[in-house]
Amino acid sequence: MGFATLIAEESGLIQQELGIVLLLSIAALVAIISRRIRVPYTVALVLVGLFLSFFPNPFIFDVSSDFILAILVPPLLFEATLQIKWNRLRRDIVPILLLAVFGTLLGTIIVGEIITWVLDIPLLAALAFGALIAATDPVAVISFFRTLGVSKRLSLLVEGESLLNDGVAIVLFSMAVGFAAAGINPAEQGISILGQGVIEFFRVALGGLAVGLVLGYVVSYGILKNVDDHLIETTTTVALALGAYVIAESFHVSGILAVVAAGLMVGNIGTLNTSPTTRLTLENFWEFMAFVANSLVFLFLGLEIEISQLWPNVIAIIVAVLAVLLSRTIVVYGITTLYSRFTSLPQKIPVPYRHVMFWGGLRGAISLALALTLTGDVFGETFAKEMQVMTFGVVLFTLLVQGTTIETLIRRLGLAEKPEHLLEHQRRQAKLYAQRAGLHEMHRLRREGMLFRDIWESVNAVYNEKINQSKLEVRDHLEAHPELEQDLFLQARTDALRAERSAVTDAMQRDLISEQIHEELVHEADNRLGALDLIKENRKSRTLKQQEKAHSKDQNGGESNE
Amino acid sequence: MVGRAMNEIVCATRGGEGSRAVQQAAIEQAKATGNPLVFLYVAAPGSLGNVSPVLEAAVREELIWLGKALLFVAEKRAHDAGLDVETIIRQGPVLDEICSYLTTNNVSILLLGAPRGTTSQLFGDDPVERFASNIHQRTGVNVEIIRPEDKSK
Repeated sequence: MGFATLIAEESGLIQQELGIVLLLSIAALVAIISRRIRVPYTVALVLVGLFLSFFPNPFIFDVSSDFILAILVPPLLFEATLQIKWNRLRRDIVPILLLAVFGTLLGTIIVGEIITWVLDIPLLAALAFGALIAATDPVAVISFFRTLGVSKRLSLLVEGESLLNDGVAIVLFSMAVGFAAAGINPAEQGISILGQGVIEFFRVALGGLAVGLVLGYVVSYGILKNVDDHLIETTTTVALALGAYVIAESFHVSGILAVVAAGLMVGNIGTLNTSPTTRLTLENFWEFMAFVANSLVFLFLGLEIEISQLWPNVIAIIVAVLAVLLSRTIVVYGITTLYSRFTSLPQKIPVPYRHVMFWGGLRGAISLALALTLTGDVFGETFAKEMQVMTFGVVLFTLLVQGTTIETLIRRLGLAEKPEHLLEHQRRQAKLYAQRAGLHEMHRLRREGMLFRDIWESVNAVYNEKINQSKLEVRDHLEAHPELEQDLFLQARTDALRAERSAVTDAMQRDLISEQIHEELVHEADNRLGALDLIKENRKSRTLKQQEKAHSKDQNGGESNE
Repeated sequence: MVGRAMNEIVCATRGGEGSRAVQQAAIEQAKATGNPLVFLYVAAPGSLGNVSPVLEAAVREELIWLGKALLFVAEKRAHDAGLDVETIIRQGPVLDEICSYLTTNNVSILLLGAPRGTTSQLFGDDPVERFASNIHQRTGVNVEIIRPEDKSK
């Protein structure tokens, strides 16, 4: 290699590095601003992406489909799966799987058929679009859920569906692209290709899950359980997340589902065997990785699209948005209604939940990432660009319209489970807590000789008077709302059980108890925490049912919950 | 020790919206009549629907834990009002357990709490009223429903 070539290559590399540095700086800036103005990060990102589309792409990036799928998508999925706990997921695994597998398949077909029928896009290309746009991304919605105190069950239904449908959507997308690349024409081959597609889908999906489970098991038990070093353990999870994808793909099965399965394994088994330091490092590291990947995907697509392409495709964008909304309506209401019809009361999905699951089905990073992989080679330059613009349009719509109105919907449906009397209780308790902290500080200053006796006595008297007043206020409020008492008991019990569980792990790490006893006690604590979740959920759904009943009475026999 | 021969006032409580009002009403009745007061809590895992077999035991134990905590508070309120009370926790279907207690003890009245906004007829169509009516029909014991707004009247 000549010196001049080396310099030229280095110069290209430096330019790419500069580009990445600039994009990361933009991402950090957007994050700072979005926090200041209290807008979800993804909403701010898509706006910046739109802003970037006004300018020609100044960077020389090789944003290939392999780079997107093998480098950017695995961290997004792995981080999300680490958070999903099986003992919480299992209660609603049936509706989640129905929505994620059957719903994604149905949504893909509905959107694909509408797009090909209205916009005259070839069927396989339209199905590829249907699949990529079926992947929901509830990041913006979940942030509202947390702020508003929405029930964990609803949160889990939305998050669980999103997590699993990402994998399914990517498998369907890859199949549509693969069939198109192989020159298969579904119109000619009809039912035979459908059967072949279903078999292929299950082969690829189950194969990917199997690879991920095996690798996740090996890492969880082989490394995370036996090595107590947060750096080694974190590095292993990086190798697992990226390696699961590569190994599964080399077996021609779904790399994405392998990442999902590996993440679930580590999140549920691997992290049980790690120290608190490792868990914290893992959490922080993967949160950072997902932040970077998420930001880059949004910004890359903003750079890829030019604003001049948006206006000529405005009809296509509107059709895509309507198709996505229609398919989401059919999928969410259809599946949840059927499911609720055949299950007993606590498992039924309340009607207000369904409204939130419908309107909260935002689209984001995975859809954008898959759209970025569309090139002219398979579907032709025009269709590829059109679908990228449609994807951007749909993501823009869901984030700006649905993402900014979901909070109002949650409040209107009475799902913001922090009603005013609960907030008032927190306000009063926080005041009491703060005053006690203030008094404690006064004691410390007095002990250290920083406060003269006279001053301390007067400050102490004032503080005690205020604390007594605050205690009365808390008591009066509880008197007026005795139902809060049970919530307080349940919360206190949950906190106490978590502390017990943590103490057991601590005892094992200090060799005070054996691993077997640790597992037994942790299992028992987990069951008790699961039981408390069930009791809390039951209380909430009873309240919800009362509200629904009152609502349907008001409407004179309007829609009632089963 | 609370005597069992006298007509007991039983206050069934589960920590809901009407719990404070019904406990207060029970304490006042016990003070006025001199009859012994019993706070009754029923841990009913069955009321949570189909609980996974893995969680059954944990749910039962946690409901009992919650019951103990709620009854402890109720007992303390009665003590503050100068009353000695008995607290009882039973396990099983709520209706059956309450009826079983009422029929095997000498009970003069059962007090039940109800949320705000429910109607006040014993034979009304609110679930708590149907529940009260069922108990009365099965045991013959008088049932009184207390709501938070009753206290403020």
